[in-house]
Amino acid sequence: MREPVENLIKQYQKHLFATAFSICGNASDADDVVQDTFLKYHLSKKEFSSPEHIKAWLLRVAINKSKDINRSFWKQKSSSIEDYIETLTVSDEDDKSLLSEVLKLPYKYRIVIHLYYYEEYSVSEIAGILKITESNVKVRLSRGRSLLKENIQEEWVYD
Amino acid sequence: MINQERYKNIFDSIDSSSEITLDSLNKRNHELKKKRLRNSLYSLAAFATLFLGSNAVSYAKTGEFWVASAFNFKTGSGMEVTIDNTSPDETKTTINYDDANAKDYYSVEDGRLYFVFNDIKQDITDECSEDDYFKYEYTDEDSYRHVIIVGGTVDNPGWAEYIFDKDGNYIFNNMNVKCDNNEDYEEISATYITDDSDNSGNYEEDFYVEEYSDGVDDGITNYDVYEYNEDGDINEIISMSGEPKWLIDAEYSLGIPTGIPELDFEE
Repeated sequence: MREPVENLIKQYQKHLFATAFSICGNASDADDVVQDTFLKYHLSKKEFSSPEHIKAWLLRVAINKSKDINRSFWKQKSSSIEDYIETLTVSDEDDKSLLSEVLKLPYKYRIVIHLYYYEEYSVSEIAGILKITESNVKVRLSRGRSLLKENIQEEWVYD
Repeated sequence: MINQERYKNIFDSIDSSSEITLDSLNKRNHELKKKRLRNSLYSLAAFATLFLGSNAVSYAKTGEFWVASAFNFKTGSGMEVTIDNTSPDETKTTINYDDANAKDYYSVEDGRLYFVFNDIKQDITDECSEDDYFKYEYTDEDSYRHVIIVGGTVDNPGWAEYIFDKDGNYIFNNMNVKCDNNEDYEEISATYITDDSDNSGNYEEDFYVEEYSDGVDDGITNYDVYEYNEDGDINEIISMSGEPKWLIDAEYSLGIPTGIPELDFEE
């Protein structure tokens, strides 16, 4: 099956942007990643088994493109992460420091934390998206949480 | 206390400012350059350095800007180096690479692959494959040696041009080679072994390798190698992957540094 790209843009632009932002750390690069991800889908003739399959594929493409940008000479640094975070409207100001610390994590931890807590994927689903083992996912989740706890002196409570 | 709801609230507050439509996607597709390889980016800096110190290029001074039309390739692409001395505290060098009107060194007609350069149009179909390439050399009026490689198949050809100075030193490349991005990555833990005899072990645990399939059955295993610094961020990418075998062989025969480390994989 395939969905028209316009429908996918409405449905997933925000998700892809959040994912790309969690890796790139800046809005300009994240915008480029999102656009290129939808472009890749638009140009691809790939068939999918379900809407969930489409979403997982889009996320994987966005993750890989974000990683590519991170290692590119031409990575944009339009503003610092801290400057960008200051522009956000959040209900709790402490959330800004949490975001700042999340973005400082090594990106391999950031990705799994984001997929687990924001996209609400299971460990096995994350392993499928990232093409790594489930134990790898668990280790990265655990290390990511430990680093956050160490940096902001707060415990991650498991819901 | 951090919990999932708090994490979601934070990332919900982040939103893209750009509007994506079918029109904008089609426009971006038109604008994107199809084949930009990492070697070109690394080489640009070296190339500019060479020309900044060279007597072979004349500069035109406009105010405090020095502009050099540093190189115009026979393909129609060109590069301009600009030096900005207007600030007392810094000198800014900008490299602009323009291949918007660039042509290729090959053409494909009636199922045959031709080398195309100035008045030359030579059928090289039987000399090229996924493993083999055609080579052409010339020396320009500034004594730079150009080696043009055309390889691949009629369905997937590519070319690369390597430039050497009059002392035989490799300085730059220009190329148009399709390197497929494939989403099937598999991560393998790796211990990186360098050429250093002491093998100090500083690199252990600081590298990981992603093996991926490019869909081409050429006997080449493709890897991307990532190096992490002590903060856990990516310090440098040493990528060995994505290039077709004919290009790797050509670069090897020309002595172009590829930076391929020896790797010892542990499962």
